Amino acid sequence: MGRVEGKVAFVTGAARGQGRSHAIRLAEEGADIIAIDVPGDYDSVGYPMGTEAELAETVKHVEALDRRIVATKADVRDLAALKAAVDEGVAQLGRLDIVCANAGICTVQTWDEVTPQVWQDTLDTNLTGVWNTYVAAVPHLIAGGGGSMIATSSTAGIKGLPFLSPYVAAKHGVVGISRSLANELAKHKIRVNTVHPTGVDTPMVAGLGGLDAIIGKEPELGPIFMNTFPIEIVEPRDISNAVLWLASDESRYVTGLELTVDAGNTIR
Amino acid sequence: MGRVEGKVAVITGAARGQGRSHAIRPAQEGADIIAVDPCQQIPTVEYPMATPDDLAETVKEVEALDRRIVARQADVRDPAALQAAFDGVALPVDAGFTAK
Repeated sequence: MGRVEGKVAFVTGAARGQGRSHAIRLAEEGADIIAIDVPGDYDSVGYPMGTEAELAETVKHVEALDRRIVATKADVRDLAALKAAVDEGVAQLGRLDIVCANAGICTVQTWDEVTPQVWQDTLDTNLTGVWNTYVAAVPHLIAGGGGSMIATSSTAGIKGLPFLSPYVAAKHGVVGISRSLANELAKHKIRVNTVHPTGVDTPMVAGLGGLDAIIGKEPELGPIFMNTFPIEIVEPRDISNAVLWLASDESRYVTGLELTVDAGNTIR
Repeated sequence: MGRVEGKVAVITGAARGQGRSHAIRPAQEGADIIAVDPCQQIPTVEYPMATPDDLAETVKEVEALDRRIVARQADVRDPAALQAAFDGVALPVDAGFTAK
Protein backbone atom coordinates (compact mmCIF):
# COMPACT_ATOMS: atom_id res chain seq x y z
CA MET A 1 0.00 0.00 0.00
CA GLY A 2 1.52 3.29 -1.11
CA ARG A 3 1.80 6.20 1.27
CA VAL A 4 -0.64 8.32 -0.80
CA GLU A 5 -2.52 5.42 -2.40
CA GLY A 6 -5.79 6.43 -4.06
CA LYS A 7 -5.15 10.15 -3.72
CA VAL A 8 -4.96 12.66 -6.58
CA ALA A 9 -2.27 15.35 -6.59
CA PHE A 10 -2.16 18.61 -8.52
CA VAL A 11 1.42 19.68 -9.30
CA THR A 12 2.36 23.01 -10.91
CA GLY A 13 5.68 23.39 -12.71
CA ALA A 14 5.59 19.66 -13.36
CA ALA A 15 7.53 19.53 -16.64
CA ARG A 16 10.91 19.15 -14.96
CA GLY A 17 12.98 19.90 -11.86
CA GLN A 18 11.27 19.66 -8.49
CA GLY A 19 7.78 19.56 -10.01
CA ARG A 20 8.52 16.49 -12.11
CA SER A 21 10.20 14.86 -9.14
CA HIS A 22 7.16 15.54 -6.91
CA ALA A 23 4.83 14.06 -9.54
CA ILE A 24 6.95 10.92 -9.84
CA ARG A 25 7.50 10.47 -6.09
CA LEU A 26 3.77 10.84 -5.34
CA ALA A 27 2.94 8.46 -8.20
CA GLU A 28 5.43 5.92 -6.83
CA GLU A 29 3.37 5.94 -3.65
CA GLY A 30 0.05 5.46 -5.40
CA ALA A 31 -1.22 8.91 -6.36
CA ASP A 32 -2.67 9.94 -9.71
CA ILE A 33 -1.43 13.30 -11.00
CA ILE A 34 -2.83 16.50 -12.47
CA ALA A 35 0.17 18.31 -13.97
CA ILE A 36 0.58 21.74 -15.46
CA ASP A 37 3.54 23.65 -16.92
CA VAL A 38 4.83 25.27 -20.13
CA PRO A 39 3.96 28.94 -19.56
CA GLY A 40 6.27 30.07 -22.38
CA ASP A 41 9.57 31.86 -21.89
CA TYR A 42 9.85 35.17 -20.01
CA ASP A 43 11.75 38.13 -21.45
CA SER A 44 12.93 38.89 -17.91
CA VAL A 45 14.27 35.41 -17.10
CA GLY A 46 17.61 34.28 -18.47
CA TYR A 47 16.85 30.57 -18.78
CA PRO A 48 14.10 28.73 -20.71
CA MET A 49 10.87 27.55 -19.06
CA GLY A 50 9.66 23.96 -19.08
CA THR A 51 8.69 22.73 -22.53
CA GLU A 52 5.94 20.53 -23.95
CA ALA A 53 8.52 17.82 -24.58
CA GLU A 54 9.61 17.96 -20.93
CA LEU A 55 6.00 17.80 -19.74
CA ALA A 56 5.47 14.80 -22.02
CA GLU A 57 8.51 13.18 -20.37
CA THR A 58 6.87 13.66 -16.94
CA VAL A 59 3.72 12.00 -18.31
CA LYS A 60 5.82 9.07 -19.52
CA HIS A 61 7.47 8.64 -16.10
CA VAL A 62 4.16 8.69 -14.23
CA GLU A 63 2.48 6.31 -16.66
CA ALA A 64 5.43 3.94 -16.38
CA LEU A 65 4.46 3.65 -12.71
CA ASP A 66 0.96 2.57 -13.78
CA ARG A 67 -0.57 5.75 -12.46
CA ARG A 68 -2.85 8.08 -14.37
CA ILE A 69 -1.84 11.64 -15.23
CA VAL A 70 -3.71 14.53 -16.81
CA ALA A 71 -1.17 17.06 -18.08
CA THR A 72 -2.12 20.48 -19.39
CA LYS A 73 -0.21 23.42 -20.78
CA ALA A 74 -1.07 26.25 -18.41
CA ASP A 75 0.49 29.27 -16.70
CA VAL A 76 -0.01 29.81 -12.94
CA ARG A 77 -0.46 33.55 -13.66
CA ASP A 78 -3.65 32.70 -15.57
CA LEU A 79 -6.31 31.80 -13.01
CA ALA A 80 -8.90 30.85 -15.62
CA ALA A 81 -6.50 28.45 -17.33
CA LEU A 82 -5.48 27.01 -13.98
CA LYS A 83 -9.10 26.43 -12.94
CA ALA A 84 -9.86 24.80 -16.28
CA ALA A 85 -6.86 22.47 -15.89
CA VAL A 86 -7.77 21.43 -12.34
CA ASP A 87 -11.45 21.04 -13.18
CA GLU A 88 -10.61 18.83 -16.15
CA GLY A 89 -8.14 16.79 -14.08
CA VAL A 90 -10.68 16.24 -11.32
CA ALA A 91 -13.34 15.34 -13.91
CA GLN A 92 -11.05 12.64 -15.29
CA LEU A 93 -9.44 11.39 -12.07
CA GLY A 94 -12.46 11.72 -9.79
CA ARG A 95 -11.14 13.79 -6.89
CA LEU A 96 -8.39 16.04 -5.50
CA ASP A 97 -6.42 15.50 -2.28
CA ILE A 98 -2.96 17.03 -2.67
CA VAL A 99 -1.77 20.34 -4.10
CA CYS A 100 1.90 21.09 -4.82
CA ALA A 101 2.16 24.80 -5.60
CA ASN A 102 5.65 24.43 -6.96
CA ALA A 103 5.96 26.53 -10.13
CA GLY A 104 8.43 29.37 -9.82
CA ILE A 105 11.05 31.51 -11.50
CA CYS A 106 14.20 33.13 -10.21
CA THR A 107 16.48 35.91 -11.36
CA VAL A 108 19.67 37.18 -9.76
CA GLN A 109 20.59 40.83 -9.66
CA THR A 110 21.55 43.62 -7.28
CA TRP A 111 18.65 45.72 -6.01
CA ASP A 112 19.28 48.54 -8.47
CA GLU A 113 19.10 46.14 -11.39
CA VAL A 114 15.63 44.88 -10.47
CA THR A 115 13.56 46.18 -13.38
CA PRO A 116 9.81 46.74 -12.95
CA GLN A 117 9.31 43.78 -15.27
CA VAL A 118 11.50 41.44 -13.18
CA TRP A 119 9.68 42.54 -10.03
CA GLN A 120 6.24 42.04 -11.58
CA ASP A 121 7.01 38.72 -13.28
CA THR A 122 8.52 37.26 -10.11
CA LEU A 123 5.67 38.34 -7.85
CA ASP A 124 3.05 37.33 -10.43
CA THR A 125 4.51 33.86 -10.82
CA ASN A 126 5.93 32.97 -7.41
CA LEU A 127 3.33 34.61 -5.16
CA THR A 128 0.16 35.25 -7.15
CA GLY A 129 0.78 31.95 -8.94
CA VAL A 130 0.68 30.08 -5.61
CA TRP A 131 -2.44 32.00 -4.63
CA ASN A 132 -4.09 31.16 -7.95
CA THR A 133 -3.18 27.50 -7.47
CA TYR A 134 -4.80 27.48 -4.03
CA VAL A 135 -7.90 29.30 -5.30
CA ALA A 136 -8.34 26.87 -8.18
CA ALA A 137 -7.84 23.81 -5.98
CA VAL A 138 -9.55 24.53 -2.66
CA PRO A 139 -13.17 24.02 -3.84
CA HIS A 140 -12.23 20.49 -4.96
CA LEU A 141 -10.51 19.75 -1.63
CA ILE A 142 -13.56 20.95 0.29
CA ALA A 143 -15.80 18.83 -1.91
CA GLY A 144 -13.62 15.80 -1.15
CA GLY A 145 -13.67 16.32 2.60
CA GLY A 146 -10.16 17.73 3.07
CA GLY A 147 -6.64 17.60 1.76
CA SER A 148 -3.06 18.80 1.96
CA MET A 149 -1.58 21.80 0.16
CA ILE A 150 2.18 22.24 -0.03
CA ALA A 151 3.77 25.39 -1.41
CA THR A 152 7.39 25.50 -2.46
CA SER A 153 8.99 28.39 -0.63
CA SER A 154 12.76 28.54 -0.11
CA THR A 155 15.52 29.41 2.31
CA ALA A 156 14.76 32.78 0.66
CA GLY A 157 11.34 32.57 2.34
CA ILE A 158 13.08 32.63 5.75
CA LYS A 159 16.32 34.56 5.22
CA GLY A 160 16.93 37.88 3.52
CA LEU A 161 19.14 36.45 0.81
CA PRO A 162 20.81 39.28 -1.10
CA PHE A 163 20.65 39.80 -4.88
CA LEU A 164 17.30 38.00 -5.07
CA SER A 165 14.96 40.63 -3.62
CA PRO A 166 11.85 39.98 -5.76
CA TYR A 167 12.29 36.23 -5.21
CA VAL A 168 12.77 36.77 -1.46
CA ALA A 169 9.64 38.94 -1.33
CA ALA A 170 7.55 36.35 -3.13
CA LYS A 171 8.88 33.39 -1.13
CA HIS A 172 8.19 35.17 2.16
CA GLY A 173 4.73 36.02 0.83
CA VAL A 174 4.07 32.36 0.10
CA VAL A 175 4.56 31.63 3.81
CA GLY A 176 2.06 34.34 4.71
CA ILE A 177 -0.76 33.17 2.48
CA SER A 178 -0.11 29.54 3.47
CA ARG A 179 -0.33 30.31 7.19
CA SER A 180 -3.44 32.39 6.62
CA LEU A 181 -5.18 29.63 4.69
CA ALA A 182 -3.99 27.02 7.20
CA ASN A 183 -6.10 28.86 9.78
CA GLU A 184 -9.00 29.55 7.47
CA LEU A 185 -9.30 26.07 5.97
CA ALA A 186 -8.64 23.88 9.01
CA LYS A 187 -12.41 23.58 9.51
CA HIS A 188 -12.48 21.81 6.13
CA LYS A 189 -9.68 19.41 7.18
CA ILE A 190 -7.35 21.11 4.74
CA ARG A 191 -3.72 21.44 5.83
CA VAL A 192 -1.38 24.04 4.34
CA ASN A 193 2.38 23.85 4.75
CA THR A 194 5.49 25.23 3.06
CA VAL A 195 8.76 23.51 2.15
CA HIS A 196 11.97 25.51 2.18
CA PRO A 197 14.73 23.97 0.07
CA THR A 198 18.28 25.18 -0.16
CA GLY A 199 19.71 25.10 -3.69
CA VAL A 200 18.32 22.14 -5.64
CA ASP A 201 19.91 20.61 -8.71
CA THR A 202 17.34 21.79 -11.28
CA PRO A 203 17.30 23.75 -14.56
CA MET A 204 16.16 26.84 -12.60
CA VAL A 205 19.17 26.85 -10.31
CA ALA A 206 21.47 25.94 -13.19
CA GLY A 207 20.12 29.07 -14.88
CA LEU A 208 21.35 31.36 -12.09
CA GLY A 209 24.90 31.69 -13.36
CA GLY A 210 25.19 35.35 -12.36
CA LEU A 211 25.27 34.77 -8.62
CA ASP A 212 28.92 33.78 -8.36
CA ALA A 213 29.97 36.92 -10.24
CA ILE A 214 27.96 39.20 -7.93
CA ILE A 215 29.27 37.47 -4.80
CA GLY A 216 32.76 37.88 -6.27
CA LYS A 217 32.24 41.62 -6.06
CA GLU A 218 30.65 41.48 -2.58
CA PRO A 219 32.32 38.46 -0.97
CA GLU A 220 31.24 39.41 2.56
CA LEU A 221 27.70 38.34 1.57
CA GLY A 222 28.77 34.95 0.21
CA PRO A 223 28.53 33.02 3.50
CA ILE A 224 24.76 33.71 3.72
CA PHE A 225 24.33 31.18 0.92
CA MET A 226 26.37 28.43 2.59
CA ASN A 227 24.81 25.26 3.94
CA THR A 228 25.73 23.74 7.29
CA PHE A 229 26.20 20.33 5.71
CA PRO A 230 29.32 20.33 3.54
CA ILE A 231 27.33 20.21 0.30
CA GLU A 232 26.39 22.93 -2.17
CA ILE A 233 23.19 21.51 -3.59
CA VAL A 234 20.54 18.86 -2.87
CA GLU A 235 18.60 16.62 -5.25
CA PRO A 236 14.95 17.18 -6.28
CA ARG A 237 14.05 13.88 -4.64
CA ASP A 238 15.19 15.22 -1.26
CA ILE A 239 12.46 17.83 -1.49
CA SER A 240 9.94 15.36 -2.91
CA ASN A 241 10.36 13.11 0.13
CA ALA A 242 9.41 16.03 2.39
CA VAL A 243 6.49 16.88 0.10
CA LEU A 244 5.39 13.24 0.19
CA TRP A 245 5.28 13.25 3.99
CA LEU A 246 3.27 16.47 4.06
CA ALA A 247 0.96 15.07 1.37
CA SER A 248 0.36 11.81 3.23
CA ASP A 249 -1.84 11.13 6.23
CA GLU A 250 1.38 10.52 8.21
CA SER A 251 1.38 14.29 8.79
CA ARG A 252 -2.35 14.52 9.49
CA TYR A 253 -1.96 17.05 12.32
CA VAL A 254 0.82 19.09 10.71
CA THR A 255 -0.35 22.44 9.38
CA GLY A 256 1.19 25.89 9.10
CA LEU A 257 4.68 24.36 9.21
CA GLU A 258 7.74 25.78 7.48
CA LEU A 259 9.58 22.56 6.70
CA THR A 260 13.21 23.27 5.85
CA VAL A 261 15.06 20.83 3.59
CA ASP A 262 18.08 23.04 3.48
CA ALA A 263 21.16 21.13 4.66
CA GLY A 264 21.09 23.44 7.67
CA ASN A 265 21.26 26.65 5.63
CA THR A 266 18.78 28.63 7.72
CA ILE A 267 20.36 27.87 11.11
CA ARG A 268 23.58 29.61 10.11
CA MET B 1 12.71 -2.59 2.26
CA GLY B 2 11.78 -0.62 5.38
CA ARG B 3 12.33 3.11 5.50
CA VAL B 4 15.02 2.77 8.20
CA GLU B 5 16.11 -0.78 7.34
CA GLY B 6 19.38 -1.80 8.95
CA LYS B 7 19.65 1.25 11.19
CA VAL B 8 19.78 1.26 14.98
CA ALA B 9 17.81 3.83 16.97
CA VAL B 10 18.21 4.94 20.59
CA ILE B 11 15.00 6.04 22.31
CA THR B 12 14.82 7.53 25.80
CA GLY B 13 11.58 7.34 27.72
CA ALA B 14 10.78 4.22 25.72
CA ALA B 15 8.66 2.36 28.27
CA ARG B 16 5.39 3.91 27.17
CA GLY B 17 3.68 6.89 25.48
CA GLN B 18 5.53 8.60 22.65
CA GLY B 19 8.76 6.76 23.46
CA ARG B 20 7.18 3.33 23.02
CA SER B 21 5.51 4.54 19.83
CA HIS B 22 8.87 5.87 18.57
CA ALA B 23 10.43 2.46 19.24
CA ILE B 24 7.67 0.53 17.48
CA ARG B 25 7.35 2.74 14.40
CA PRO B 26 11.03 2.52 13.31
CA ALA B 27 11.00 -1.18 14.17
CA GLN B 28 8.09 -1.59 11.73
CA GLU B 29 10.38 0.00 9.14
CA GLY B 30 13.37 -2.23 9.84
CA ALA B 31 15.33 -0.60 12.69
CA ASP B 32 16.72 -2.32 15.78
CA ILE B 33 16.15 -0.46 19.03
CA ILE B 34 18.10 0.59 22.10
CA ALA B 35 15.43 1.52 24.67
CA VAL B 36 16.10 3.48 27.85
CA ASP B 37 13.69 4.43 30.61
CA PRO B 38 14.17 5.10 34.35
CA CYS B 39 11.13 2.96 35.20
CA GLN B 40 10.84 4.55 38.60
CA GLN B 41 9.00 7.42 40.22
CA ILE B 42 10.52 10.89 40.46
CA PRO B 43 9.13 12.30 43.74
CA THR B 44 8.33 15.75 42.32
CA VAL B 45 6.28 14.28 39.47
CA GLU B 46 2.59 14.08 40.31
CA TYR B 47 1.50 11.37 37.88
CA PRO B 48 2.73 7.79 38.03
CA MET B 49 5.82 7.23 35.89
CA ALA B 50 6.57 4.20 33.74
CA THR B 51 7.32 0.84 35.32
CA PRO B 52 9.59 -2.09 34.43
CA ASP B 53 6.43 -3.84 33.16
CA ASP B 54 5.84 -0.98 30.72
CA LEU B 55 9.39 -1.29 29.37
CA ALA B 56 8.92 -5.07 29.08
CA GLU B 57 5.82 -4.43 26.99
CA THR B 58 7.83 -2.22 24.61
CA VAL B 59 10.39 -5.05 24.30
CA LYS B 60 7.58 -7.52 23.52
CA GLU B 61 6.09 -5.30 20.84
CA VAL B 62 9.40 -4.66 19.09
CA GLU B 63 10.37 -8.34 19.20
CA ALA B 64 6.95 -9.21 17.76
CA LEU B 65 8.10 -7.26 14.69
CA ASP B 66 11.16 -9.53 14.41
CA ARG B 67 13.48 -6.68 15.31
CA ARG B 68 16.09 -6.76 18.04
CA ILE B 69 15.82 -4.52 21.10
CA VAL B 70 18.15 -3.88 24.02
CA ALA B 71 16.26 -2.28 26.91
CA ARG B 72 17.91 -0.78 29.98
CA GLN B 73 16.60 0.99 33.07
CA ALA B 74 18.51 4.26 33.20
CA ASP B 75 17.74 7.87 34.04
CA VAL B 76 18.73 10.48 31.44
CA ARG B 77 19.92 12.75 34.29
CA ASP B 78 22.58 10.19 35.17
CA PRO B 79 25.36 10.15 32.55
CA ALA B 80 27.08 7.15 34.14
CA ALA B 81 23.90 5.10 34.03
CA LEU B 82 23.25 6.13 30.44
CA GLN B 83 26.83 5.30 29.49
CA ALA B 84 26.46 1.90 31.10
CA ALA B 85 23.26 1.32 29.18
CA PHE B 86 25.02 2.15 25.93
CA ASP B 87 28.15 0.17 26.74
CA GLY B 88 26.07 -2.87 27.56
CA VAL B 89 24.70 -2.78 24.09
CA ALA B 90 26.10 -5.38 21.76
CA LEU B 91 24.88 -3.61 18.61
CA PRO B 92 26.85 -0.86 16.87
CA VAL B 93 25.53 2.45 18.16
CA ASP B 94 24.31 4.49 15.22
CA ALA B 95 21.16 6.51 15.67
CA GLY B 96 20.72 6.76 11.95
CA PHE B 97 22.69 9.90 11.16
CA THR B 98 24.71 9.39 8.03
CA ALA B 99 25.86 12.30 5.90
CA LYS B 100 25.84 11.23 2.27
